[in-house]
Amino acid sequence: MYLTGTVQVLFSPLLTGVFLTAVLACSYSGSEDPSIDDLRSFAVPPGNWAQDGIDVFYGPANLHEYVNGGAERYLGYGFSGLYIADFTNSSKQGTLRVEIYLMDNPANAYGIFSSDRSGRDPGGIGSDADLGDYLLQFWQGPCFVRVQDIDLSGGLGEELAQFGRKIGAAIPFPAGEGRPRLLKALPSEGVVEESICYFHTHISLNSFVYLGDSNPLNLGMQTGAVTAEYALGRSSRKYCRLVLVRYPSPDDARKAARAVKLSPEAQSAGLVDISTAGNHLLTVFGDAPADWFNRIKLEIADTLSRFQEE
Amino acid sequence: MSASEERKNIGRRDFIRHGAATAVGLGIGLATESRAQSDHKSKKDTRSRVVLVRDAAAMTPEGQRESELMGGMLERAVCAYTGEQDGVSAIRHFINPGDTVGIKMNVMMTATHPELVAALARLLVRAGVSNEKIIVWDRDNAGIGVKGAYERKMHYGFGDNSVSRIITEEATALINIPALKSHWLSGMAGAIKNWCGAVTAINVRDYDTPFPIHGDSCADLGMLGAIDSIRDKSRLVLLDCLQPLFEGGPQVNPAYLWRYGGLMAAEDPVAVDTLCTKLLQAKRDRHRGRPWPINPPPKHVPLADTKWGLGVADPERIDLIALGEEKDRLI
Repeated sequence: MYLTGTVQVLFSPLLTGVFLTAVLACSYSGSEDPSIDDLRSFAVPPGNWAQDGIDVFYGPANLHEYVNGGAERYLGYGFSGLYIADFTNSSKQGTLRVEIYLMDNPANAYGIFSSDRSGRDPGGIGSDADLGDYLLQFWQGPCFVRVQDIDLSGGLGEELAQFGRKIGAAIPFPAGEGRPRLLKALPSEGVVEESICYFHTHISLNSFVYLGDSNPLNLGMQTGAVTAEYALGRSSRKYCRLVLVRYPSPDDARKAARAVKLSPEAQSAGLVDISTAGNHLLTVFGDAPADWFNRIKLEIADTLSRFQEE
Repeated sequence: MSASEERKNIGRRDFIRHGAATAVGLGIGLATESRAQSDHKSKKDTRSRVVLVRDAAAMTPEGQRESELMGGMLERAVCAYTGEQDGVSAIRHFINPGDTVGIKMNVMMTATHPELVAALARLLVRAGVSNEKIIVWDRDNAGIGVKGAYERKMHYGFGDNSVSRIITEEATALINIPALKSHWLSGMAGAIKNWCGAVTAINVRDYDTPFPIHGDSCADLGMLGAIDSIRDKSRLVLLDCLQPLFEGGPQVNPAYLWRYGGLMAAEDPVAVDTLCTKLLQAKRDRHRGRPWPINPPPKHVPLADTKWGLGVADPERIDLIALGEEKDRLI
């Protein structure tokens, strides 16, 4: 990686001043929402690990310099800032990179976390965590955290988890709060747990089911959506993908439903059916039979009606 | 003309058609779709060839840090491609000793292995190219000769046409050496997409840019390879598939890296990317044990053929010569 040196401030001049003030100040007090400058104080290493090398911030305007081609993914979740620091331990057995992303709200921190889960939940870290051989990811409050064994040294799983616990303890938001409410509308039977994802934009959706650039669902930051895969029966190897979108108004939902029905990309993607309930839209792609769709539709509509009663 | 020079010209003629548009295009320096379409029509019956070399030793972390091993794979690949018996003769099919060679590697996440780039630079030097006339770069960071594989602190900048001056003013020959990954915006990133690091003024919203490449899941990435100075100077594609990324990207979740231990060699970037798409798809399906389509679909690969005339995307017209490790080759 080519980010070297001590402190690099990569925000606007205005933010530079804020940052320098924060450097001189003590760690975050927790009395208000964290700023991008507070993120540094959350990067607490376990014993025997010390900061070594990269110590850098990125904002929305220059995130692409770090994840070129991937910044849009974060911007689609209300990205505000990123702090990155590398740590080595006294025996130099490896380098762990901590990345703390600040999103505009906890639901979006959950969203970016949910977009990529490939490991196991180690338990006791953040609101949800995912631990692989070389990478820990978790979310807590508006923060999404990645801790990575960047040299792929291996054998540092416990150290990754230790970092997660220390960072989680430093983030002044309780674990488990702020999960998107829309998740509760997803039926649990047959769901592929790690496929559940909360998102806003059509670019996010296109990485799951490709509906093209025309964005027939009219997705954007004004909409909230969840998607998940479902296994259709225990012995069957057939799957489908459900997409549930909440729009600002029922009319928006109906317009989107009409557009999807006319979308050639939606047909190519295996559109099963589409339905609206109030300001929500449900659509399913893949192998699901019509009776499955109808059953799920009723179940979700029932859940959503209870939302309104709450 | 020597025998090797003759072979080189014949080989290149299959892929690089110089027509009347060339003279105009060179003056403009930007991609010309009409020339691309003309090229495409003239090539619709041609076939492309791709060599894939895999080595079991290159499937280990240690092996992937051995430049000597990389060099062996590289020479084996170019020899198989050209029919030569030694690497020096083989690389001379593409590069003359008097060339200034621009080596376009990728240094972003899942970077081209520097050991492989160093091995390429050493082979070029053995073939008579001056070490000082080898420029290794990505974006605006360049290094010279073998050392340039590891350290790139020079800046050549970009010309008025937003193309790297290494391409327009320095290099007489270009070698494209990307590393394979899946990509969140374009589906996959291989040889065609690697030229993104050779131009400036691009942005994901395609605002006020001469290269609006991002729309429709980066469908028009081929316009970069079709920039006349890139098209005319491109000699060889060497694709690092030692450790590809098969999901996500460019940001890496190491759970989706796999040590494939491969290197591809070809003149046709589209044929390379067509096979790479097939490889990534096969790996994804195997990983899940059921179909796991690459999303978004890499539209830029077929369009690099049909719209930009950069090569062959029809798998039926691509001859794969696979050497070395066969287990889990997948293609």
